[in-house]
Amino acid sequence: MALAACSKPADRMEIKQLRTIDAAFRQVPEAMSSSERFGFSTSSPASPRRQSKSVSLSWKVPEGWEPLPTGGMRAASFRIGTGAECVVSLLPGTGGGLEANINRWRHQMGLEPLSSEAIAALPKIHVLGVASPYVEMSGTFTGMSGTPQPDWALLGTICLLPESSIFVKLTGPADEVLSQREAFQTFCQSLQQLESDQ
Amino acid sequence: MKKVLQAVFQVLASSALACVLLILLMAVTFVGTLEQVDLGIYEVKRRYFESLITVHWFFNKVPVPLPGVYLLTFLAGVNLVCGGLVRIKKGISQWGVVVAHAAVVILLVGGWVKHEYGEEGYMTLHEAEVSNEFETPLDWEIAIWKKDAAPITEYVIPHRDFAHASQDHPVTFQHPDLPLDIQVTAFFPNCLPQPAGAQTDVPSADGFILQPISEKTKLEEQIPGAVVQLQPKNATAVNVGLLWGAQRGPWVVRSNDETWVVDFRRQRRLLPFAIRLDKFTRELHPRTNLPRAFSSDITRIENGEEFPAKISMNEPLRHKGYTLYQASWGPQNAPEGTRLFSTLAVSYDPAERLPLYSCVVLTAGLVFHFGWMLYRRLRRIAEENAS
Repeated sequence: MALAACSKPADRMEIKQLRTIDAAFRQVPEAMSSSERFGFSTSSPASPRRQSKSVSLSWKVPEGWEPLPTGGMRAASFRIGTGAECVVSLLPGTGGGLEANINRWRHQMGLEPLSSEAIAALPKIHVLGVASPYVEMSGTFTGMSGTPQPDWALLGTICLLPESSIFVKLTGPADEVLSQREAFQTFCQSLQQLESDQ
Repeated sequence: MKKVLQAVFQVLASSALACVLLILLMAVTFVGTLEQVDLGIYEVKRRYFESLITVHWFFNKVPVPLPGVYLLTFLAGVNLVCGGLVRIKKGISQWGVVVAHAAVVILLVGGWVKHEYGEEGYMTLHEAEVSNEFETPLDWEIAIWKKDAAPITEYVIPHRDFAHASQDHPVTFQHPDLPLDIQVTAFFPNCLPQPAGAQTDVPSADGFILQPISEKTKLEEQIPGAVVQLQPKNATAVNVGLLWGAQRGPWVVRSNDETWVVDFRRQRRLLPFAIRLDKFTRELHPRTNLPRAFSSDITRIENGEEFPAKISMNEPLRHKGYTLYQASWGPQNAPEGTRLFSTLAVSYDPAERLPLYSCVVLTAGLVFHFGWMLYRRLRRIAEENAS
């Protein structure tokens, strides 16, 4: 048994589990693109079970924030000033976890990760009645484009609800972002939950 | 040799060992309970309660090896058998004690059977929905089936078979009846899908990548993902797709003029019967949104026959070793009129009745023991009075 545990795992295996299921138990939606499956766009209907656990939001838009197109995980998106952007994302469950996501943001800003204690000690703002950690970061931002953006800043908060999570993240040139600190917090606190999706 | 064996038996049968084991059980349970705050319930179960030995970091600085609860309960069972059943004097005055010890051994055996052969999971249903499956809370699976087939034959790859897959060590899965091979070229225990952007060093599909994130997240909060390739056996065209635990629907793909569905989901188990949720009832405290009670009117469907039942908070449905409890419901804080779903916790325990039998045997043993003691006392008093 110990030898088996130490042996190299197989690189070719036969599927041993076969299940015969009544077609009535499998509601398969039409083919979706990856963008639709991962919630970046919503032209196809989602699986009813997973959609039913999401929440819908309303908010008050601060002055000077220009709404941008949204869809899927992006519940709201705004252009601020010349190069800053604020995105409200909804994810199922904890979206990977509070600590992991805050440290992912720090990684994007080229900063060292925070310890669990430091994350627990972050200042809180109330989003939907939940005390949610609020972060401010400055540094060189490297987003998914892979292009480093020096002298950028990030404001963010993560609100963990019983079955979903709300991520609010404002990124852009440091001077533009930090001038929006008050507006950002007011915006986060203005979020309200609407009737749940059917 | 015989003396050594006798010495070992004396230790295993000793009440001192019983005391040490009980103290260690208390200590491991205590530190394990505290660790749940940081590690989450499932990781703590794995490390402290289902292990032979574990290392606990006191104050996150001092590593201290501790026996796991699995080992401790095994030794407690051996101690009970050696001390409470084998070595104990077998006179009538000890029969009750022997029976009580046997009852505790039955309880331990029941716990072991449940741990080894039991299953736990959840079933979520909207009203009028029917299902004969429940999802386990931790493990995942990849399932592939041909769309529009009836009935559907799902080819299922369990978590343990692809959890080690990586770009350096892809794993290919095949079946004689499946006209394509599935290769898992990467698996990420916790990740988020992101637009691929300019990144070229990670596998991408359809303009997306899976971005790994810290594994320090609690086990139950992690959302894994996998990169898979579908390779038809009689063609060279390969389809590459990303699977993610919170995806909004399965990957539906055309391969060799057939449409296939590839789903990535919590590992599912089949029930020997189906459950239809007829009605979910939620009662709120007056003028609040706080639930006072909630229950599910269900129908158990088995061999074409229907058996209505009600599952509420303290009244589970028990059938064929399965117990279905009312666990939760949602969406939370939903206003009146919202279509609600009911979540039932499903527990399968082949030794479900053993705790009951153990209690009966224990009660019989203790009643006999104390009854015998009372009888002896009364007889002595009578003898003293007579003399």
